[in-house]
Amino acid sequence: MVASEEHEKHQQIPFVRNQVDIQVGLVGDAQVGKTSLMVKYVQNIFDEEYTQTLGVNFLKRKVNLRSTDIVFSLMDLGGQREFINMLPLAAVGSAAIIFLFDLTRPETLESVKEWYRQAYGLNNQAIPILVGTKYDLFIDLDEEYQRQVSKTALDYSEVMDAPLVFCSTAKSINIQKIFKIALAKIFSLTLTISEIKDTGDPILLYKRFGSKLSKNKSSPSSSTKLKTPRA
Amino acid sequence: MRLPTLINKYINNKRGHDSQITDSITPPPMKKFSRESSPNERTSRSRSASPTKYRRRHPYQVPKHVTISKDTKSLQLNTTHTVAFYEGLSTPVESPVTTPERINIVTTPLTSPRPDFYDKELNFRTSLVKNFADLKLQQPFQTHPIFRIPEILDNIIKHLSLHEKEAINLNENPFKRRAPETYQHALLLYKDEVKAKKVWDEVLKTKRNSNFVYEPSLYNCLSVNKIWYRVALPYLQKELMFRDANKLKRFGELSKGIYGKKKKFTSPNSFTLYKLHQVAPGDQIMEDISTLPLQNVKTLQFYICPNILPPRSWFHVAQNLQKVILPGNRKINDRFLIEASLNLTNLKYLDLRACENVSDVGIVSIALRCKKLEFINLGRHSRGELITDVSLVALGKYTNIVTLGMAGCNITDNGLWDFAQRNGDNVKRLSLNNCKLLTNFSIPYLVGFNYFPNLAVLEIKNLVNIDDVKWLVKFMLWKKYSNHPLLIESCHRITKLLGIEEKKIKKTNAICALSDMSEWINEDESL
Ligand SMILES: Nc1nc2c(ncn2[C@@H]2O[C@H](COP(=O)(O)OP(=O)(O)OP(=O)(O)O)[C@@H](O)[C@H]2O)c(=O)[nH]1
Ligand SMILES: [Mg+2]
Repeated sequence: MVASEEHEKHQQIPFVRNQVDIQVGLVGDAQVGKTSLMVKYVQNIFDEEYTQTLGVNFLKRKVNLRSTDIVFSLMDLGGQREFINMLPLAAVGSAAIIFLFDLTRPETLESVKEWYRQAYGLNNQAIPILVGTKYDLFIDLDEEYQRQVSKTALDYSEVMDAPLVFCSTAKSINIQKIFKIALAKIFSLTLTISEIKDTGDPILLYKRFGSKLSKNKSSPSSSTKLKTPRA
Repeated sequence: MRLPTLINKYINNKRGHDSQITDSITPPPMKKFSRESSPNERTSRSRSASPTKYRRRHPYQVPKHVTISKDTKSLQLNTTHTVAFYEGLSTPVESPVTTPERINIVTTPLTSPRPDFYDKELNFRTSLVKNFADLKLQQPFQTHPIFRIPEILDNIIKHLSLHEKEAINLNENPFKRRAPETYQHALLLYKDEVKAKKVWDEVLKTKRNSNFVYEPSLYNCLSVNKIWYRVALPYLQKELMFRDANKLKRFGELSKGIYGKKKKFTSPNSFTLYKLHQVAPGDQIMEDISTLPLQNVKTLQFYICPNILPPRSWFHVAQNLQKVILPGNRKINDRFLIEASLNLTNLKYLDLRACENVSDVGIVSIALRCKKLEFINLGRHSRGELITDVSLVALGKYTNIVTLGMAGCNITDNGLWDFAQRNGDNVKRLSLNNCKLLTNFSIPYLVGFNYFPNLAVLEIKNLVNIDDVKWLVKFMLWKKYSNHPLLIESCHRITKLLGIEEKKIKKTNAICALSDMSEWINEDESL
């Protein structure tokens, strides 16, 4: 009698959810829109007003899938030169590093060279992703300018072996896709969303890039990043 | 040897005169000669060429003897300590028993009763001075000032006493991982060659050094000086512990006096006998100690004293007894436990490891009467057939056991299911090592269906009939996930099985995770 009552109380221990922790670093010049992108991705909020980031910002986003929780830990480094000494916080331990530039300010793309050089020196295992921001402002600019910038960006992309994405935080264009591409590249997953190549459109190029690296490095990062389970 | 006799003479002499002089000549203590009188003074003195001079001045000493004492410096050879005054203390510390302090009296010529005798001695001393002139003097007052502050000293000695207690109860630490059986086993446990090698070397080392004798240092503290004596004594009194049959014997003989009219000693909180193999039941010792005033004793420990039982009379007095630890005892049987259980209503902790004459009968009587019991260890290497499901069911029914040790007992799946249903919620630590009758149908399923939700340590070494560990691993992973990790202690074979199963589960999980992620990244997004 007691036993049967007790029996009902006892059920199989619950299924343990997998947890995948992914740290992503966000680097680039001041005011290119790093903080905006992070806040948009995590909280789905866009703020017109600019607040300079002092040091490093950190936000987490948890994505609940059927058996697995993905936790993106986003490290946003202030773009002011004086914070360069904090670059290790964003670069070391990151599975992907997003290099941002402002599509309306070509000099910020120029700076990506230096950001990439420094970040790569700290972590050559991370998947680099090149992101042009403020696409909503970019499309209003001169067509020739757009062509020039797109071409230069693609050249950078080739050299860095980094997927290239143009996005707009203000108009919510390509925001989610940046992180999906990151995840796909980290775990060498097959991604089928279509690429966007034409000048004037929000560029989305990923198929050619970022796979060489993850194949060459005997994918230690992908195997270590997948932890089951972790609280 | 002449010197010791001489010293003794002085000691005797001093005893006769000390108090007289104190009362009549000098008001105690004379600040002027107290080393601690002011910080400035102290520093200047410590730098002075002959600190001995100051040190030798007993606070009660009359100045006219100073010249003489100068000549006697050299006699300071082995007498390092004088009375150490604590600044806050207005009276010198009283010395209850002879302490090494007394030896210092040599330096107090004042104590000499007859001048002629004194002169003779002076000559003798001068020659001594010559003889020992090239010897280096020990620096006086070598104790650091903090060792003269009772509050600090008290703290130090408290820790020392705890440390001593721990030294005996080392294997009681419930959350320390047990040593691996072999190097291979260590490798399985730590999954890292360097770590495994380190742990295994440690094991070999401790095996080699197992004859290491632990020095009873708390006892030695009594002989440092008066303050140490005064501070250490209460700790020794509170936690009585004997590792030496002769000392126990002396204590037994003295005990009537000590605990008698003078009331200098109070009833201890714990009483421990440690590895007294030789003491036999009929010994006079047992007779002597049977009358100790143990009304406050909370912990009673006979650690590997195979031939002696705690005297029956104790259980009638010791109503406060909460912990009874009697591992490796051949004399304990069911009758003893039945009698003990009648009085031990507050018992919480009962360790009967390797008490191989105890059977179900004794345990049932304990379970029935000791309602507060939380810890019981019945682990054994032989005569496992004496402890069966009967004990297990009784413990489950009548107590709220938190820690259960059943190693080597003949319990079965049925008994464990019954126990788990009644008391599984309380159990934090469970040892089932060498329970050869247990099969895949008890412990793995019991944890898999969460019958032991609070389990923190599970010992399952050498369970020969267990080969399906899937649920054990799932439970372990789930506990880890919920931030209450479970430690499983197992033998080489089961550790290996656990490892294989864990890999399998993790692989399945990884495949699941990857397919989920693939699906997610390819979902249509309006954003
Ligand atoms: N129109 C438009 N404005 C944007 C976009 N992204 C960011 N901004 C604006 O750009 C300015 C700078 O954005 P932040 O995200 O603070 O820049 P940051 O890169 O974090 O700058 P630091 O912290 O100084 O490195 C803010 O005023 C944003 O509102 C975008 O996609 N479109
Ligand atoms: Mg910012």
